[in-house]
Amino acid sequence: MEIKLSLALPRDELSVPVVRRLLKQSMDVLGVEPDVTADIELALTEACTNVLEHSQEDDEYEVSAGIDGDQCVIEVIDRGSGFDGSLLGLEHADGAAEGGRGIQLMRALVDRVEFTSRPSAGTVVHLEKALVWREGSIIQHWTETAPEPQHGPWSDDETLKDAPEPTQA
Amino acid sequence: MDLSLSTRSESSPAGDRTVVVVGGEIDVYTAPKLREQLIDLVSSGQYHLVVDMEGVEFLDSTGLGVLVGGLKRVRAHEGSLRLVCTQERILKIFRITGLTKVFPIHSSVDEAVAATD
Repeated sequence: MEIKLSLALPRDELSVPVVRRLLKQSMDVLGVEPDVTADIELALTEACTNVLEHSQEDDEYEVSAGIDGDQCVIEVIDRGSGFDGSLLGLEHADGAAEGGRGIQLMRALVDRVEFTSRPSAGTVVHLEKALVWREGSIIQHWTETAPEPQHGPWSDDETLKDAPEPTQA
Repeated sequence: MDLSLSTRSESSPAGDRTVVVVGGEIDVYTAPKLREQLIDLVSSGQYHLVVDMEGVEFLDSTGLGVLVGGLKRVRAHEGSLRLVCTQERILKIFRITGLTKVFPIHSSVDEAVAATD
């Protein structure tokens, strides 16, 4: 079982609560434990807010989220000028500073944060967090009732050779 | 995507306090509204603020920045900004960022209004 969400969003402030709510709804429906959902919501929000702060281009950015039985993997992809957060957020911001806490929060709330930045291609923020499920969640139901994984004809070379030639329509 | 704000005055032996009741989500979309509210209060001479965050459902680093900005503004007038919060999910955000050492955080509005230290 795997759920994938893929969003292309306008680079504006409203996009941040929109993407956060879409992901929260998905995790609520599947049965992710609420405290885990809250951590992911906040890390995602910080990653999207970074896109708005570190790019000026009037363009879209992308968010993809994959949820399976074990973990949630999110990528926030910004085609802007690039931004390297890999050395940021490693200690507390000054108490009087009004910014500089977003990356620190991301690092504290999820299991893995990675920044990939290329001047020409923009920035990818990669977030991973292990999931905990509510008792009686849909995921638990599916995991318990799922048959042994089988290779479909499309993923097994041997079977593929034996498959009939596609017929022209 | 909503932020609700209301203000009221309360008095205690400590003096007059303005209680700002915040509800909903504080993020990059709604934070400007909270920032304006705090600036308006300080501009109108209200330097002792209690921000009641019990109705806050979501808070991010942009919201933290607005609260720090408010604290700096009231302190410039010898004022105070106290928070009321008992929600573990919100308190955790203050702890991670070290801001529990910057803001006095109270468990009720009454306690915050009466506080003098």
